[in-house]
Amino acid sequence: MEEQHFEQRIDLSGLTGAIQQIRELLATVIVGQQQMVDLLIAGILADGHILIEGVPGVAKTLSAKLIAQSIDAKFSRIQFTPDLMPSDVLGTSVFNPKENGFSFKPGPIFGHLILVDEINRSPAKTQAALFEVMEERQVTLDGHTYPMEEPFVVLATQNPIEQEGTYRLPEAQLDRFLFKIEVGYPSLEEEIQILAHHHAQKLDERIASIKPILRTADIRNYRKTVKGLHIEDKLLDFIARIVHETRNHKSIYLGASPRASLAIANSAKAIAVMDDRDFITPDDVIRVAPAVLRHRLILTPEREMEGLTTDDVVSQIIKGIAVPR
Amino acid sequence: MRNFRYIFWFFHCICGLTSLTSYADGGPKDRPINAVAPDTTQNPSFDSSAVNVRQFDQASLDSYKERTDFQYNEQQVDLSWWQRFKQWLRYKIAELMSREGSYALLKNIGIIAGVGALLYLVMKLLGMDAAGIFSRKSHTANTKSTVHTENIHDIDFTAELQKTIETGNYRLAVRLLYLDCLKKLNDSGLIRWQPAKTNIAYVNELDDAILQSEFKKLTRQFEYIWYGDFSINHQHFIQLHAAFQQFDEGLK
Repeated sequence: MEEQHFEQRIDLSGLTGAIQQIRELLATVIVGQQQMVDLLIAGILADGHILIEGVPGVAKTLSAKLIAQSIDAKFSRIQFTPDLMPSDVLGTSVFNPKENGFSFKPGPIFGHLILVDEINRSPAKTQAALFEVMEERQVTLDGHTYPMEEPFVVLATQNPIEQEGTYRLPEAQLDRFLFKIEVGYPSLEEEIQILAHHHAQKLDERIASIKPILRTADIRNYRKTVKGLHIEDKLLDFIARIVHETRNHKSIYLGASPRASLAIANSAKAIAVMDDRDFITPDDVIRVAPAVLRHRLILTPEREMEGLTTDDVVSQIIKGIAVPR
Repeated sequence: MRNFRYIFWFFHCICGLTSLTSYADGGPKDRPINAVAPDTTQNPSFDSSAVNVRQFDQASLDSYKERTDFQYNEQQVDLSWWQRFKQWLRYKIAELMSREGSYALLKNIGIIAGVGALLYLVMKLLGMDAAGIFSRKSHTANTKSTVHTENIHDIDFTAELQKTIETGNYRLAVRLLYLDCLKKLNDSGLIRWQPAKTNIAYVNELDDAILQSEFKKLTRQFEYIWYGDFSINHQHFIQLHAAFQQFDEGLK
């Protein structure tokens, strides 16, 4: 059969080319974890913040650093510790004897790509300092509001295993993350490849050789492109039904908010672009739904005791809703 | 009240001590210990002083009577039917409880309620569904398809396709062609039709590489037209129709 080629209504060539380059660059350092890399790129294109959760040693921080390295943007890293204060993150006003007045000293949050490492090691007080900046892209201190430059992306990592010295992220904070990406262990083949890379001792060289592919201006333009993608009404209905079902499911104590519906729609568009399409399909929705919903749902205590996870419930919900065709 | 008792006890002690002291001193001084008291019953003395009779102030009494605080007569209030019913119920329960054997009945009710509460607690702890005790449905089976979807086995594809082609609705015609294709794949046992499966899931379900590749192309065409809202002209539709027919032939 000769396939009919449809002319794209939006020029995606530059964007898809850049995405492919980033994927290839990251693949030279990170073995496997394709799903994580794709969601990281999709998250940045969909103007969202990303929480990466995984056991120690699965390249969470490395991936975030490499993504930041592939973009020519102001990058800062904040290591969240139990004694970290909100002013250590946001900044503070200091007295300037020369001018005989207070001047604002911006904190490390003032950047484009912010890596918040081990976010759950700081208490609620410090975590709450991120509320305004993550949602409204601004910091209000001493009566002044300081807007953040676009793009502003928080890439946070956390370890799910440790209990000692960690603080569970509040629901309001979790809801501000577009995705929660769960990073698992590599497969046997991937682990052998990791060992081979390490043995060749070329990892540092490879990391150092990564040059920025995208500039902040490119990201701003590509985000506008992604927002303009076509989405059919039946797919909006499909997204709404998935989110609505989370509010009526027996196993769920707290369902997803309308912010989750918007997050699914926006991130599905980013995924569609990565597949060189200017419209979204049900597959795009299903691909992003677990990453968007898993941290926004709270299971009932009985289901949690049974060992059920939010991923299981999201999967049940998706399997229960007919794909619009 | 308690303080008054102490004060009284204190005075009582003081008086006792005083009397003891007087006895210690040799008793009353005016009368010797061995003296006999005079008999007053033979010649009683009367108080002949004038009695001053005092009357209550009538005006004050009347003013007190006016005040509601001092009106002790209860007024009969008409009870509502609900109050009368409660009164009757209380009376009946009291009557029931006063009968012989009512204690045993009360005890049995208590035991039943206790067992019920215990069962409920166990069910909650085990996460059991109360409604599911009498049915065999598992929890996961409860999630049913919530979106109304057409049953592809109930559609008369030939007639529907004819209608859409006649009206020039080629977009809908492509949808019908694709659904018909899924039905035929399902009927030939190559895929298992489920409304919640995506097109890519059906593509991946096909084992035959050539069939999979052909079906993937058809799927892509369908998705661009149906989800991408790409327009399709008569010429393009004729080509696509032929491609679907060719694919159907391959299934036979």
